[in-house]
Amino acid sequence: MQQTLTGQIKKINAGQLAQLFEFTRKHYVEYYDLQCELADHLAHSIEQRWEEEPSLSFDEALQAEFKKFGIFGFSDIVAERQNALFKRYYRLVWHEFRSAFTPPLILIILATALGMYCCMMAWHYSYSVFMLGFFVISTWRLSYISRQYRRNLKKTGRKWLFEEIIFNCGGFGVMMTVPIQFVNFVLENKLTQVSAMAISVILTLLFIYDHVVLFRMPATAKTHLKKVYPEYDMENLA
Amino acid sequence: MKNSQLYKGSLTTIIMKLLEENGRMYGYEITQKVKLITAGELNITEGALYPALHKLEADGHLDVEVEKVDNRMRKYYKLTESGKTETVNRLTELEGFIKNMQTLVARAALKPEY
Repeated sequence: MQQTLTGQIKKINAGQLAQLFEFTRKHYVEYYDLQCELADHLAHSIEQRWEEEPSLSFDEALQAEFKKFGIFGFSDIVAERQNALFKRYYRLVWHEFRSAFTPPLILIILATALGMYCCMMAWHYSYSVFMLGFFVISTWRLSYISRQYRRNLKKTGRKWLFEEIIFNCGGFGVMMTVPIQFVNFVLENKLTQVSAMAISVILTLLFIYDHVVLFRMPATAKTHLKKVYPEYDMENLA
Repeated sequence: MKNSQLYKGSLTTIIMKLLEENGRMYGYEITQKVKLITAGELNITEGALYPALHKLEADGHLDVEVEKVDNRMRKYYKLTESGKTETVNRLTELEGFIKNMQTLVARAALKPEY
């Protein structure tokens, strides 16, 4: 192992490590989990380079090592990490969604779908009541958990990608447009028995999805986060 | 990584094989190990390594452990049970591919010229 002129093996110190975190932030890595991994990688590779070229300054070594990440820098890594964690999120959502279809709950689900169907057949415009209910509950809950997330973020100062996905409900906004697609059936008086039944079933499934992403997932966020990030507790309590 | 689709397509298999042999490894260690084994012939770029590791993790083939080393958080990757099975499958597939390619290349070399 090569040493400096003073006989010391050059190592990354606390100040330089902080600079590495700052460097990742400047290169659009806003998530702490990725910052940690990339800062450690850069630190290790800089130390390795110092063993071969001990006279190199920290900045020179950093620039040389960053070049190895290619022309897109960290952006590909961030994008792929987002894809990977979204995939993991939706797998968890699917698991929770399926767990709603157990014997006692199935009866409630069927009763809800049948209740909506009967209401819509009796008075077509009752659909707007269900739609409004869906919007009000979703918007209220979405803003509540967003506030909760921002408060937590302010407290810890650390942004974890999977936490952001959970508290943004995996981009729930798109799902909120689904009930609007059926408005034409009601307004143009095209609501038949079949379409009313289909709408009731779709709305019921949407309510379950709504419950999973807006209530279940944020409530169990800590458990999921600890599985994805073994360091989550360690870092957030530090 | 060497600029060839052949290598790029095998990146995850290379990572899984290394993890199978070494138990657990961190990103930088994987790049150095590949360089060492291939005597510098094969160089896995960081831009390709981390997306591959994160994808394998999301697919449930890798598990992570985090340790504080030199005051830094170091993330280690190791194979899960499904990862171990997947490694065996991918290696078998790769061996079959290599065997078929060798046969094809050897036959092409023996083909008489008309």
